[in-house]
Amino acid sequence: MKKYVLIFAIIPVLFSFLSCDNTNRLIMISDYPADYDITYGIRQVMQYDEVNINGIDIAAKLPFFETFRLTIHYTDSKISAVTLSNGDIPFSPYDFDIPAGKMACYLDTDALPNELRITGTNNVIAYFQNGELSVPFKLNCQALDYKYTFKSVNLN
Amino acid sequence: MKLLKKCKYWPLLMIMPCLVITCMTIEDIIHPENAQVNSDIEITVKIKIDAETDGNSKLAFGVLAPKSWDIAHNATLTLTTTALFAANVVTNESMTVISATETNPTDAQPWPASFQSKFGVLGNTGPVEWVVFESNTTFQIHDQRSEQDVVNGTVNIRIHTGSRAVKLFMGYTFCGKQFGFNSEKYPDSPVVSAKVLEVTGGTDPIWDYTVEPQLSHVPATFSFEDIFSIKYNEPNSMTTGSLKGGNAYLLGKAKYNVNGGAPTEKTIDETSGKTLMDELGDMGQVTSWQKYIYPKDFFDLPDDAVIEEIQVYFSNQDKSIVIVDNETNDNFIIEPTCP
Repeated sequence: MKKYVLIFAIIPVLFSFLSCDNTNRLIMISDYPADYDITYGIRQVMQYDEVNINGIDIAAKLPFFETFRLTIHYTDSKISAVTLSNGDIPFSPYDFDIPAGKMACYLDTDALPNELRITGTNNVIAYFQNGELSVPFKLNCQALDYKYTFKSVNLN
Repeated sequence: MKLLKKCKYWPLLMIMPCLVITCMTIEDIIHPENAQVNSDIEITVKIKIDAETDGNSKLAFGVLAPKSWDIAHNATLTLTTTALFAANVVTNESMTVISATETNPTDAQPWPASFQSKFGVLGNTGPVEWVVFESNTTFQIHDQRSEQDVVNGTVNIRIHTGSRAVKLFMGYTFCGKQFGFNSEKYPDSPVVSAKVLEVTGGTDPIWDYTVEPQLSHVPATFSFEDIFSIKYNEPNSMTTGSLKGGNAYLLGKAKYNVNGGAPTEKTIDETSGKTLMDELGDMGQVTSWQKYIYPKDFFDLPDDAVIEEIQVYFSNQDKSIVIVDNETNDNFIIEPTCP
């Protein structure tokens, strides 16, 4: 019995040596790009109302949602700008005008959830929470809420 | 023999859950027999609290009613109780709407959202809402003190009905405001009851929320500036002039103005991918199709258009079958329901 106890004690220790070399894992590959873009398309358009409080995904119901693009530009591995294209969507999720082209922006990590803000304004482009990017909005009826969530569509 | 001895307690064991189940009940719901539109109606709900444990709490009482009645502002509830314990006796005590900032302790949601989440809309197919009221009195319940273990209550509800005749499942529920759906305090399923109420009169056709209507929407509350679905429900008993077995298309017209100018009409009458509906299939009593639209996009209207009216109908691909409102024998009128 003592022999088995010893074996059970030694095996995990051996595996821990084999599996977790933190030093190697954290070393950044030297030629990994520090400046890059990630372009997102809409993954879900959730619609919430008093009856459907967990929301219904209506993204596939209206083809124009496929045309939305949000590109986040990274400089020195930090978010530096964003480019938005509303595509063919006949409304905007924002109550402010979106300029064409790149907009300087930053991630406000003091706010919870983290806010992707246009630099020099109070305008929030998107929220980061639990590793997910989202854009909540309303159209006209105050009893209805909508939220975009995103998927990466290409990596430049 | 030992087994048999054990078995003699089985009936008792089987009865025990029933005793628990009876701890909070809705004993009776009395609806008016001839409820009319635009009038005050009286509803009586008899409740019973039979303590299985102890705890002091106000009563939270939920009513499910048509959204258009706005019962948070158009209803008066009074509570009368009988009990051996004097502090648990109230007579015609006014109940008040629980503040929107207060939450059910068991799920941390505002009370109407909590009841909606727990009970849904009890089979209603039209826009209804839970409104939750509370007693002023904190009832003192104790299962070990015989005078404090039972409270019988009568909730009298006076509601001003809307202008449209309606038939629906009115819903009622209650619990201790202090405990919500606490499983320790209330080991059984939360108590909820529904009963059909029919309000007649007026000039418009009745809204029947107890059956799947020919036309329905998700969400039930929307404006013309929102995204919503138009759903056609065809009875499975319908054999001639049916859309079953083929594609269904949503067609219609929108009346709109720009900057308050003269109304203009835009018609969509092509059977194409743009108007093709999603078939939801056999839903039991009906076969359903639906299409989500953002009206300005669907009818190709200018950005600054203000939509005044939308009418729709349904057809098969070659338009040899056209489905219109069987009550008016004309196009369905889409009625925005956002307050």
